[in-house]
Amino acid sequence: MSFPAPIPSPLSRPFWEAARRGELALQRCRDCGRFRWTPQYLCRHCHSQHYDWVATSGRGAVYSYTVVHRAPLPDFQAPYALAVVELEEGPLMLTNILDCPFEELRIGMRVEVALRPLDAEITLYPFRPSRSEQRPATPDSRRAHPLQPHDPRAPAPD
Amino acid sequence: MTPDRAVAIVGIYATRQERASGRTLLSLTMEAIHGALDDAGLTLADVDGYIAHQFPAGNGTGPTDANIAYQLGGNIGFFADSTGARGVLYAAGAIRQGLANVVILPAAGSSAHGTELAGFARPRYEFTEWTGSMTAAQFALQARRHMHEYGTTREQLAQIAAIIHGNGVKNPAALCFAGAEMTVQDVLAARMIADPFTRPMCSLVNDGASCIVVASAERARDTRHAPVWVIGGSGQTRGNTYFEAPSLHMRAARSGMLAAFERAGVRHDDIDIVMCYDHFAYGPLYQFEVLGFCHFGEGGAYATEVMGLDGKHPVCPDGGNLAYSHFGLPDNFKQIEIVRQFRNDVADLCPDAASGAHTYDRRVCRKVRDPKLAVGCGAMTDGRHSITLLAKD
Repeated sequence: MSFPAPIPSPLSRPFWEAARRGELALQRCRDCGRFRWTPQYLCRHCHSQHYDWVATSGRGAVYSYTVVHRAPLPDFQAPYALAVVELEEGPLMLTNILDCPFEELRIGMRVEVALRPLDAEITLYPFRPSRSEQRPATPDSRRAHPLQPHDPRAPAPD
Repeated sequence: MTPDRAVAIVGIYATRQERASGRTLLSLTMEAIHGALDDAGLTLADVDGYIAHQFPAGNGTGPTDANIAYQLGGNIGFFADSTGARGVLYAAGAIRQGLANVVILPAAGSSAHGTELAGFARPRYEFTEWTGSMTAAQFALQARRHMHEYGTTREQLAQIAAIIHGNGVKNPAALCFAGAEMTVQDVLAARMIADPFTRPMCSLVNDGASCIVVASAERARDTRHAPVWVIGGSGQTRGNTYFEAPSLHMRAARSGMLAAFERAGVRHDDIDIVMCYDHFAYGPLYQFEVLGFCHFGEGGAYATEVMGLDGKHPVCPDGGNLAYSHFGLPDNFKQIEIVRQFRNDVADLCPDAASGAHTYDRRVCRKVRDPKLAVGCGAMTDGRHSITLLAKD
């Protein structure tokens, strides 16, 4: 079983291309202006089929989180932090939280995207605490790097 | 025939629920179909409707409607890919339309995959799997948000798990039969899966099968047991929880649930058994909210107060997904246990349970006192919410 790399579709391809360029992009409805996530053909609110892909701030706040202690696949090294981030632009996004001790995770914590290339096509979009939230690292800090060993840039776990 | 006495569950069956059975899906399915028809006093020749999730095998065999129809002699006038509450609602709709009279709803799950299963790859959810998310984590995210918004506690989750588990240890058919009762502290101290869910707060994983037979009122007259009437229900879908970011969006299903109660002319206070879908201990508490038994946010306190065997609305007297069985599609059991409780066909540790005599001593007895009205929940996981409302005369 290999790492479950995302497989882009014609609908989602612009998202992955933007991520590769270093942007967290969302669709924005051209008629009612709402941002949305996940990529869809229609706006769920006004049913418009017209949209643009827009680069976003990459910032949000934690809507919910959990620490996974039992990984579903050998590619993932538990424990790691999973979260739903409420982006500044509105939508909810499922992601990981990196560089944050588990005991400091909290709903409402401000976070920012930390784009990480997986391969030539896919750049993943985990988040980390915003600069204003970051604490100095200590030897005892628990760091969650679920992408080990597929993310060669992630520091080794403690 | 009155409108709410048009369709009934007339037959039920469950195979042995166990781990690593070594059985094939097809053999489990056929055993369950035969068992449920025998229970109803009907035969394969009576069957003209088939509802089950389809598992085509790579070599052309496997429990699909077409293969089963072939074995039955090709007499299926209505088929659908569904199970549990929603499947029963499809059956009821087909029967009311005159498309079928006797519908079987088998379900099976087995870890013995071998060559019998199709070679299709598990769908790879583009925006979920790279995060290392999985079922327990998806619902842990919902539970954590519920705790944040409403003050729901870990202790309430643990109490829900302990109550349902306590039912399972009294059920000879349950995976957890004869295990020790668990306290709240036992549940909290157990192995953590995805915070806040410990192992006893999560569904079992095992093999097994079940089958329900649904029939028209006319055919129900000839069956062995008193009919359990399908007097109403609701089937909603709001979005794919496993694909979309987990949230508390299923709160929006409440209006559809309230409408279902109203259509059936049923008051919440009159409901006896509530077969919540206990995929995790979190399930019952938010389902009491969504079903309209209590306000949003009250589910933790409400569920723990009412869900005991002697409570206002007993939940999963069989032990549910948490302690009885979860072979992949436990939805049928949420209907089957209601039928067993209605019939007074409840296996537990009462000395004369087999003859229907129960002591109601909760150390040994899991029979609910004289239930007449029940809610049978379908899987409330991936954004779909279905219920049946079942009644006995």
